[in-house]
Amino acid sequence: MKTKSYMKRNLIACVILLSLSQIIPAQPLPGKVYDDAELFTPTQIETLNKNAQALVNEIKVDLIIVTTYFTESKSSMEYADDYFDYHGFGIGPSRDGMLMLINMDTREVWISTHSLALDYFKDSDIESLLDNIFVPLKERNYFGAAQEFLNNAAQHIRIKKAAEGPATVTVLEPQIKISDYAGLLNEPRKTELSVKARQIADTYGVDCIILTLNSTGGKSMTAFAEDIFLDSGYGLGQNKDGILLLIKMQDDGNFNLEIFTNGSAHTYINDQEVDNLLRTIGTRMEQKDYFAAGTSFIDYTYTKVRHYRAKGLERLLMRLTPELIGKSLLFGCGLAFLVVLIMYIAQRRRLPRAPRAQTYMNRNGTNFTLKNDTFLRTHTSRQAIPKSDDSSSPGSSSGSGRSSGGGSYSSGTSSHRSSSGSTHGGGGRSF
Amino acid sequence: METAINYKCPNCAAALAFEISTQKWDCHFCNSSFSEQELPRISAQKGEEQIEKSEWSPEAFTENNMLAFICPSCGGRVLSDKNTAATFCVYCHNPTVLAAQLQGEYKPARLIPFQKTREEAVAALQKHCRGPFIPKIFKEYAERGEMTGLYVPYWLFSADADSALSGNAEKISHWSDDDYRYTKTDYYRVERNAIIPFNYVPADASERLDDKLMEGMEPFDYSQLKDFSMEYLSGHFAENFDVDAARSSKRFEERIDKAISEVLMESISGYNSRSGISITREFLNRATLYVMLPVWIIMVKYNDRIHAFAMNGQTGKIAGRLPFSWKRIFAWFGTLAGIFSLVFLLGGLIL
Repeated sequence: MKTKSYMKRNLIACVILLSLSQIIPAQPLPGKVYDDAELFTPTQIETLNKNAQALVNEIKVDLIIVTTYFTESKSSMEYADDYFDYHGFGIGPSRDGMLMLINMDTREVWISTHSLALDYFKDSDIESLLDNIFVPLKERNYFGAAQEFLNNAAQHIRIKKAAEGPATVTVLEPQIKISDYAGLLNEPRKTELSVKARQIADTYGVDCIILTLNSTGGKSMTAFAEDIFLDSGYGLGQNKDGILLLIKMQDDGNFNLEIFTNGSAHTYINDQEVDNLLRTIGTRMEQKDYFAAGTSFIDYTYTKVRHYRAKGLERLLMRLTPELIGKSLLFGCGLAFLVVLIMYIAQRRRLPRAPRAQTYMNRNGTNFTLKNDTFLRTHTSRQAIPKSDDSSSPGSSSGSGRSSGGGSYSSGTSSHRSSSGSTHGGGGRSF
Repeated sequence: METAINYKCPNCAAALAFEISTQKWDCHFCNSSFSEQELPRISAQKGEEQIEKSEWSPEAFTENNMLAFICPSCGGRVLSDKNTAATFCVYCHNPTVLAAQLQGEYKPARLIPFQKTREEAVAALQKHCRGPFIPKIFKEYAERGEMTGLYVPYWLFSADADSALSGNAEKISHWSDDDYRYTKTDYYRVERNAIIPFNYVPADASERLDDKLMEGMEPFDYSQLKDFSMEYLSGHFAENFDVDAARSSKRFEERIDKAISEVLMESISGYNSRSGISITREFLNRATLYVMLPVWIIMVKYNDRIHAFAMNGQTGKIAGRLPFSWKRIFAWFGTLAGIFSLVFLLGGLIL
């Protein structure tokens, strides 16, 4: 009995711990190397940890190395992104960092970038980095590959940071809604966009800001957008409702985009919509139609904010769409059909049924004169039980309640959202 | 020979009818009341009136299935269905029993008098017509209280069914070990013989009354069966049988064959499956009784079809489905769809 109750307690504790582990992200791990596939010797791990820590201290971008044989049924990309998010890697509030995963199960190497690393590493940069890593990797020199990753990634970030220089601007006047430090728009265009942005602010109480610049001073786009929005005093109302489009133009003609939403604006435009909007703006930017890019941003914001903030007749008319009318008719007719059907059935079932002939049978008088059950034969068959070798384990996930949010887009960079909702970039290759 | 009879009050000679609520023959003119024990007095009174005042000359219109009689009270010439055994004079509304129709093989052996009054029957119909989809015409009939008290001719069949069943049955069991799943099937031959007695299984003997409708009102409480007396018919309609016992017995056999099959099959328990079952039966001690049973009924023509609603005049059990009005169903659907759509639309606009 005691053993049973002990086992029961342990089982409950395990279930609770497992449930908590699904909800609460783990604390950041202290090291930089996680060798689950046991590809490195303890000395090599120590060396890699030391090197990585020194480089991270210098470049302020986290560098993580992970090896594994088991990716919980996830792809290398998903596993690398989730590993980074779940363990809380990254430096600073925007969690700048990158992770190299050596997946021995699929024999694949994947580099996941986040925040500042995502800004700095275009797809072509990732390819160059993978080229360098592949030289030792082909000779099964995993330690050499890890060293290549650390040194080349750090070197690339050093160069990018040096080229960027100090931030173009660190604080803005909250009255100015369009700040074009990168010189993408002429005055009439700027005025036109400003009028639209002011209209959103004045009518619906949501700040709408566009900032273009050439340098964020080594800060990630995410961190810079958040800082300048809050430090400049943007945002209207109690919740500081507002949305900011940050455009960083690089010397080589490439650009980074960031949308930061705060307060109610985060509710009005969700992450999925931010990603779609960034893609639209990115397309216009690649066509060098900067005014169209700005217009897309402001018009979309106007539509979404108006949808939630419009009042009175405007609100009603705006919501009176053919889709709503169609849905109302569909559900109305469906519900009416159901009600009428129930009424119909209820009315049909009112009458009691005719009695069965057994009503007139004298059960006590029923006399069985013969009850014979004769055994004839027996037959036994057997069927082999198929053996199953099922093995699966639940994946991990994490979530966080945010009152602000946004997304990133960089020209020449493939980015995506991980299961936790943060934006990652990167690339991989099989070996 | 007496043929059409008005029962008269022995005290004042006014028309006398069987009163359901008191279960007596009440005179509404002098407020006299006569019990079952006083039936000979009533019968004697009707005899005198009949002989003196009417010259009965029935004429059968076979081509139309009609007959004519002279009302003993007012002398009016009344036409009636050839199966009618009791009716009312269309001129003076006096209840009339057509005694000539209740002679020989047409004389019922027994009868259950009405226990449920017209008011109860009308209340049941009104309740039944409460639904929103019932056509207006039925509601109007219900409001006017148009229900007819009718003694329906029935055959009551009794018999001992000597039944036999034979067939095969299987018992299946399963178990397994680490490698195999086993299934064992034991085969048996099963045989049953039973004598099952059935008492007073009713089958209505009227062609124009729907069999299912009549079955729906069953069962009747046969403990209240009384020896037939024509006086009970006074004040109600009554019909003679036009489906003879031989034809009705087919329905009786169909009904009890189902019951026999169920009783025999229930006795084969503990098996997983049964196959090749055959059942035979023969009747022993077969008996048939011709009776009249009380029914309140209304028949209404709607959409070129006759729809009937009936109530057991003894127990109050109702039967018969009234038709639905598609116009009303669509009107309800349209109204509800409009209201719900508007609510959804407003909800979508406001929320």
